[in-house]
Amino acid sequence: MKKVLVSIFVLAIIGGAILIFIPKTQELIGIDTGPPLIGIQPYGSIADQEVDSVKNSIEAMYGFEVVVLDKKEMPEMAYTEIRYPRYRADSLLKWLTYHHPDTIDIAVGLTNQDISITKYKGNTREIKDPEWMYKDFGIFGLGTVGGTSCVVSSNRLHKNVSDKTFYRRLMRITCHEVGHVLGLRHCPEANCLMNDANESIKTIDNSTGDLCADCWADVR
Amino acid sequence: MIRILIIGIVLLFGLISCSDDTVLIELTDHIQFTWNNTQQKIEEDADFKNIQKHFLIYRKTIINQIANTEKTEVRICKSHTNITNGVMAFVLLDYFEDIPYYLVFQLQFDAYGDCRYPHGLIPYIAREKEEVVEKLHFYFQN
Repeated sequence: MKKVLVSIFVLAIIGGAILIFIPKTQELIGIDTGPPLIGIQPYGSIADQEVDSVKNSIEAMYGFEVVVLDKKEMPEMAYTEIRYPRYRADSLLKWLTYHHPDTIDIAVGLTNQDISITKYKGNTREIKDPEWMYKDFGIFGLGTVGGTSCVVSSNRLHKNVSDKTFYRRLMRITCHEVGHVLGLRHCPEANCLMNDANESIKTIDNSTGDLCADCWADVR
Repeated sequence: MIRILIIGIVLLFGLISCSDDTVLIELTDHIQFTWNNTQQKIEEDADFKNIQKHFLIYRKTIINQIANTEKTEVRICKSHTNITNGVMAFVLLDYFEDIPYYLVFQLQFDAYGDCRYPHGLIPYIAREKEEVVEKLHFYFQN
């Protein structure tokens, strides 16, 4: 009888421990907990059509579930007038990292405002030359490798192009930034979607719009 | 039988030792809060609510406390140990203010891993504490 009681006690403890620590254990030993849920955070006056196109492009490319969060005003903390009135992409990443709902694994900020970052020389803290230009340099998007958020701006994609080209660019930049969040770095393969745009929209236009085989293999 | 009992005790001890690990941070007599090492967040208890209520009055003091070098038992993410009260003062400030790092420090921190804080930020705050205090005061004064 005593043996039975002790066995029940031990089994209860083991059961309890498993129930409590399953998520932690999975995290610790790196068990895949399923595909990430992606949340698009539209900012300001971004058109619904742009939001839908971004949602469809992530679903089509990566096959993940994507939800659209309620629109928010552009975070004031990211506003800058260093060179022009616009928003710092690094501050938007921070805002998304701190403010996205717990139910979302990856947040994709989407804005029609111009966004910028500082570009450094390699891995140094020295700003690229010319400093006046690179201390606040306009970009299409920014994603953090292996993090939880990225931000995409449609602001620079419109100029003198058809709607078809605009949406193609928007979809490619979004999938490129989501690729960073999924753990991909820039790819040396010229036609791969993860190739560095090198400050030119032409790189995006010339891409196949798909990841190369090596990048697909590395998607986390 | 004894073996089963020992296993039970060991498991029970394991469960207890895995419970939340918290650290009380006392910046001043009035500004104190509890950091939860397990959940990696500030406990939203009465101390936290007191700071929240008086935050604008306390802000200047919290910024000054960033220079405090007293060691704590805090762990931030997997990589940061030896955290000082000063770093925790920054963590507290960052809880209540959306600090745009580049605009305040003129340094871009944009690489995030599986941590709330970007790579390089916590070591920078710990290392350049005087500069951080000065830049934060300047930012909030303007």
